[in-house]
Amino acid sequence: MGLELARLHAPGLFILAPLAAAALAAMAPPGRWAWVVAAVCGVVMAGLAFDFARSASEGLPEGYRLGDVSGPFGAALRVDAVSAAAVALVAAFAGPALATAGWLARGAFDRAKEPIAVALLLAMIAGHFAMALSGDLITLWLALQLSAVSAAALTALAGSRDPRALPAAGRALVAAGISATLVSLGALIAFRAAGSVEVRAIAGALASAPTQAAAAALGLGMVVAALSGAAILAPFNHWAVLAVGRAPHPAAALIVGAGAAAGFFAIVRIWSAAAPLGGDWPGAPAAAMGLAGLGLVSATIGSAQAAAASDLRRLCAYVAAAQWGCAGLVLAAGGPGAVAAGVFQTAAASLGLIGLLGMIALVERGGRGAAETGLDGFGRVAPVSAIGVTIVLLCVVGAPMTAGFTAKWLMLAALMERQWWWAAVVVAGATLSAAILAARLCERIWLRAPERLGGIAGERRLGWVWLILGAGGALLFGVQPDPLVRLAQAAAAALLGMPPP
Amino acid sequence: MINASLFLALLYGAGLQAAIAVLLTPFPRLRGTLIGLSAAALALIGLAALSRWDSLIGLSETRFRPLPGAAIVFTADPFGLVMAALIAQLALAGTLYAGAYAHRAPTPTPAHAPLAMALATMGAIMVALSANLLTMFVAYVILALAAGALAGTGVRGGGAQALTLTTMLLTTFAFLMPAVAWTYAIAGDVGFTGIGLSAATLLPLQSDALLALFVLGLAMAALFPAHRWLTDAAAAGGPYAGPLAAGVVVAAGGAALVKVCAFVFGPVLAQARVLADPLALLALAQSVAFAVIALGKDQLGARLGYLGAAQMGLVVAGLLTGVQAATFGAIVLLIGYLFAGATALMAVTTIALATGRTKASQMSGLGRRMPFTFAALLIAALGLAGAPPLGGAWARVWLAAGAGEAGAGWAAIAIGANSILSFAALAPLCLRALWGPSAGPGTFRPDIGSPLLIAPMMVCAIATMALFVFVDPLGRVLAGALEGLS
Repeated sequence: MGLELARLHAPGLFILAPLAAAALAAMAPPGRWAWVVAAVCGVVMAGLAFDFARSASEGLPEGYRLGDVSGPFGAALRVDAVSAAAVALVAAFAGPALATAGWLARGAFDRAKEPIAVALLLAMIAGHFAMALSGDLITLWLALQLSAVSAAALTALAGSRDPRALPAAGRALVAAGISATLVSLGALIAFRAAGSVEVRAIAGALASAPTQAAAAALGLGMVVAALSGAAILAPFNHWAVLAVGRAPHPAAALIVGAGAAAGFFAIVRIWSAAAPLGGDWPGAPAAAMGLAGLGLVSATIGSAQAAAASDLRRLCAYVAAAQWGCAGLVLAAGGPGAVAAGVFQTAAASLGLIGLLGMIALVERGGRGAAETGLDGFGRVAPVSAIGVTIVLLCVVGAPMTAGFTAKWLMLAALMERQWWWAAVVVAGATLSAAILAARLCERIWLRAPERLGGIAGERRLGWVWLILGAGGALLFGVQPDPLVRLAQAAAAALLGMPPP
Repeated sequence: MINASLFLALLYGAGLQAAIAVLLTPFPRLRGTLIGLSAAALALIGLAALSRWDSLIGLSETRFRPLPGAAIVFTADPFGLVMAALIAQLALAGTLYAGAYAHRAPTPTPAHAPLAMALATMGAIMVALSANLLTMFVAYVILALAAGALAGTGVRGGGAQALTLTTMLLTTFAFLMPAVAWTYAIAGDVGFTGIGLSAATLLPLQSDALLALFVLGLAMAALFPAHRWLTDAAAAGGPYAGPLAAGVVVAAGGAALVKVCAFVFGPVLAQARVLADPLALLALAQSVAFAVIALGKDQLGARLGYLGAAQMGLVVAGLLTGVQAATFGAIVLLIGYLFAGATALMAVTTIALATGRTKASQMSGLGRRMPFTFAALLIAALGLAGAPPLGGAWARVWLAAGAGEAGAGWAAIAIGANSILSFAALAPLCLRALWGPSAGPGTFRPDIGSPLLIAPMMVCAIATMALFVFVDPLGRVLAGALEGLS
């Protein structure tokens, strides 16, 4: 009975449960209780999210409203395969981040500030879930602000131990301000043009009232620009790169993973509203090219930056920009195959990023810092972990029998089928850059002498949670990709307004 | 039942070798013995499979389904079976030689080398027995990673490993993967027997672009500019230079290119002439230019590396003609090169181990103290030159006939030039070593003439000669596989 009720109200719970847990954590005394609340919340949210994703293939209700009224007094949440995929990806990062936060963030804050740090972490996750589910621009605005301000505040909290975190927090706050301005202005313009802040209603206006279309499109374009920062798409990812470099591990993981996934899917939802549903609108091809351009720039710049990065955290952020960029590029090509390939790519990229975050946790907690040189001789010190890291790197490259390969294959096949040759070249180029990066890191892991010898001990083992999820998922969905492919196809059908496959 | 077991044993035998290499790492002596025995068993299985090839044809093994509509499938087709059996023989020679070398080498061979060798063998056999492009690609990536690891075992020049790994990964992911995905997008199928590439399904120049992607993606075939890994691996020396630069790795590269040209393109190759002709021309130019470069190299490993790349140039050129005779000639040349090249590289490595001499100018008179090694090197030299009565002679005849059939009779000049230059690069050296004046005492180690070092080399040399006799049976086995070509 309770489980059924939870399933029925899952969309609301994704937002309200972390917020309630945040309040509870904030009230907890300094010590482990706040972390326990976070860990329990993380595990519960992860379970709920994967159940939600599984039920996506069995058909979901049309929508869910918090507050019974659409924005600005209530929140219209979209419940379909797209939000199921987005929620699953957010939970894939949020679950391990919360479950391991008590260990991996140890020492990052003053003890007295730990409860508020946990509360901010939970608030950030609530914002990410809300972003993944939002069906109207006001909810989107709120979600974006909740996650962005929480990220900035968490980074700033780490400033008491790491002075370089404060400038990074400042940049994050400025980015949050800019995105708030862009989304609110965009929502206002879209509301004036379409008479609604709901994305689907705006899409309808684009199709039926061409005179208002330009204004509505401008509004949506401003929202997309703001979301690009959250999705850490290059070149809007400067704030995120700085914050990821300085924030405690769980917060960095949420920025680079959960936040990026939620932001990316919010962009995709807006694009799908503007381009395929508004097929009569003459600006639809331009909208598709806009998304393709965003993907092109992000994939190209992200790949180049990743190939040159020597700091593992920054490298992770750049890899994310490149991988999400590829996904955007293939999504823009349109058609069920390409869109499904794009959605699959987001899942494969997430698995790779989860594994990379595990690698960073292991190296950092081993006292080697976040520099690439920390990987030297890792294969001799911790061979099992090193095998996991190697699998993850192969997934990022797109090596066979990993989820990354299936993603690359589907993307290339779809792009070539639609004769987007230039996009296929960009994806191949990003793969090449990832191959160079992986070869470089593998050389450090397996062929160099370790800085100092020592086994994996204590809290470093918590990094295994990430690594097992990333490497295990990469292998599992590489050998048996059907469940993910089905979810991706369902999401593609929902995005294109087609009946479920 | 026996046939199916033979096929599966051939397919997975090298995997057992890899498992032994991993599990018995703490017991090096036992590991070496068991790896040698399993390599011998695999070679015997290969011979048994070859002797019953007509009963095995059509057997298949389906594994995972990593993509919607495409699975990992292996099948016993005539060409694949021949190549898999030959790879098993080359792997045995390489494994035994490396084991014997490790006992006598002044520096220990890296612990991961036997595992890399086993994985390379497994990858190469999987490439040969792959039933579709997806399977071939998966096997090719395994082989590329193993080749990168093997390249690190060279005794000279640490750069060979990075170069090999980088070349393999870059070409595989930048060219081969898009080529395979593109084929799938065009034909909706990746199976070698079911690919619907035809004039009707391809746009103008599409077949050319696709062919170029495949040729550039298969770096193991060592076509310029992706040849450096081969020349550097040969120059670096060490016990695994043979398997790398003239053994299982090159065999897999050649086999993959044969499958692409003969089975994926087949008759469609005739409409891809806009790029196929320049690529064939490039390969022919490589066969002559690299043989000239080889002549100028005093370091024996580098000389053999360039000679090998020159041979592979002829192989690639033959395959790109799309003519049955030239394709058959290219296959025979490839097989001949595998044995002759492996023999030569093992001989050169043995000479370096015994005397510390690595340069052609230092070989004079050495043959009288190492008669078996230099006899093997002389046979290899004749094999590379295509002198009768060795298999390379038939290969060149078929290649020239095929070139004439394709309207490029002038290519026979390049084929002849390659023969003369290959002969000039090695034969005089062997003659000087056997009958020339001694170059001084040096640091000769008389105990180095171990039968285990000599035997693999001599067996490969005998195989080089035996190919002359076996060309006819080989032609009968492959006749069905190549009948789609003009």
